[in-house]
Amino acid sequence: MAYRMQYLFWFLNYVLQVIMTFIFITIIYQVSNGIGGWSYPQMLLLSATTLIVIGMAKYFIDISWVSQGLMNGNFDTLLTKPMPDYLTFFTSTNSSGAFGGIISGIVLFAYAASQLSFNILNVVDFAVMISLGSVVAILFVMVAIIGSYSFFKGGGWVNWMFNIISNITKYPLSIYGIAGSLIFTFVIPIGFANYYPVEALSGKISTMEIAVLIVFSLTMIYLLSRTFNRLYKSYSSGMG
Amino acid sequence: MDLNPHVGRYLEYSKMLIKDRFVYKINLLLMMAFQIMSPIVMLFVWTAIYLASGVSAINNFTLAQIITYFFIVSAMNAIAPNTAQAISDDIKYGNMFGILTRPLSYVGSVISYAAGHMFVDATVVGIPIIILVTVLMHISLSLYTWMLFVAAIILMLVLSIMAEFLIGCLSFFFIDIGGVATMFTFIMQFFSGGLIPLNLLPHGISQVVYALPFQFMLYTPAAIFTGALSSSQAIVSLEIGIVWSLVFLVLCTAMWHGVKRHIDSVGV
Repeated sequence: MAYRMQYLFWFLNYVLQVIMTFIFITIIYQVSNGIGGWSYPQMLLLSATTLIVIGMAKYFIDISWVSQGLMNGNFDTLLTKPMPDYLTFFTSTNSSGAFGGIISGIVLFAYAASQLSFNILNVVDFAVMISLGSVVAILFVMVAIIGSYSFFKGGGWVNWMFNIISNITKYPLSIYGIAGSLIFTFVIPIGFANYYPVEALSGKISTMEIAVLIVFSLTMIYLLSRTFNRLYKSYSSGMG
Repeated sequence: MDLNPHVGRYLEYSKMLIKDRFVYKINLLLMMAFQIMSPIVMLFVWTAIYLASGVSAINNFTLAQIITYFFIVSAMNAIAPNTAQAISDDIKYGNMFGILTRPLSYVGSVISYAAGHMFVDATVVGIPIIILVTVLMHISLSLYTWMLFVAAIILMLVLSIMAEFLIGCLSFFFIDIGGVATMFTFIMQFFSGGLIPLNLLPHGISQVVYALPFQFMLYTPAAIFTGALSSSQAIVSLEIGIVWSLVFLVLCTAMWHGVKRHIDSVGV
């Protein structure tokens, strides 16, 4: 908070993202029937969930700082500190303005949810799935950053990729066909963090499918953790 | 050919920046890949919307037109200069003092910087996207329409350079303008039709938006290309755009005179 004005502008930027998303979806549903199978409040719910998850990922991990830090050796200063490996990625807080995205995403979520009705079981499923899915998303970002450095000695593109993924997954994965759904479920596992939890909340998927998705989420967490640990242990400083 | 030495030194500056951009070729390729993702996402989204609506056109925009629109918007976004951060860095790190002592006008060097980057971005990303969409969507424009389209692009570039200059100079007040510049980008994306074509906006909002200069940054070139603006409408639009250019020129001149009086070098 040393630079309060900067923090305020970044905070407002994330709020603006949410506002622009709201305006876009509202206009779409005013001029057309929207996206098949998804009502206006459900679309807002999906977009809000995506923005909250993305906001959390960006709040905990400053992708640009970590990527640059790995390349120029600044990251090494964190390795000398007595903290678990995972936390070294969480210590940069330059993206604290992302808190604005989380707050405004929650406001949008609440607005959308107020126009729908849910049963308690769907809400519980949603809570469990989004918790696990958020862990999957954050681990995926960490693996992407460290993997990019390990294989390409670079990482500036990870932030771009993450922004594009967040743009893609604001909309139902079903519009991208089977191939797209599979890619954003198993290759870039963001679907676990937003699409499937909202489907569960909206009652669009069965209990068996929810159970399978939870198992898949836990499997992804295990695999991503193992991959991260492996890549992290093979890290060599950018300063040689 | 013996160029005017005053022009020659700016051209050399641009050439140096072009070479610098081509050093990291992977970054350029990635930029092209990422730039094309946005219209591809819109392709899927709007296909789903049109299928659900069961209509061939929404506000006189067919599916083919709207897909073409977003590809052209993506090309324009790629070509548009991003000089605000460079200007901000010159101010923040104290480079301004050194630059002002050189036999180069700072404004001229900013334009050279923008020209160098625009050349690379247009060559690697912008023009390939335009060619791609022309071929894939079987676009057939008259020579006159192509000329209007190019004129709209030139107008877009002029306005963008001046807008970026104004934002960059805000570093004198905010030091780090990353947040300001990003906020401007978001706002500009909406008001220029980057988020949704302006002719799909509700009447009240569109009246406000059409009165602002941002439409010339993305909407006008894309609308000319897709036929959303007729030739006569395009001419009127370009004339209004030229007036806005003059307004921006006055603002930039006033800003630069104000900045020169307050230059206070920072950094080591």
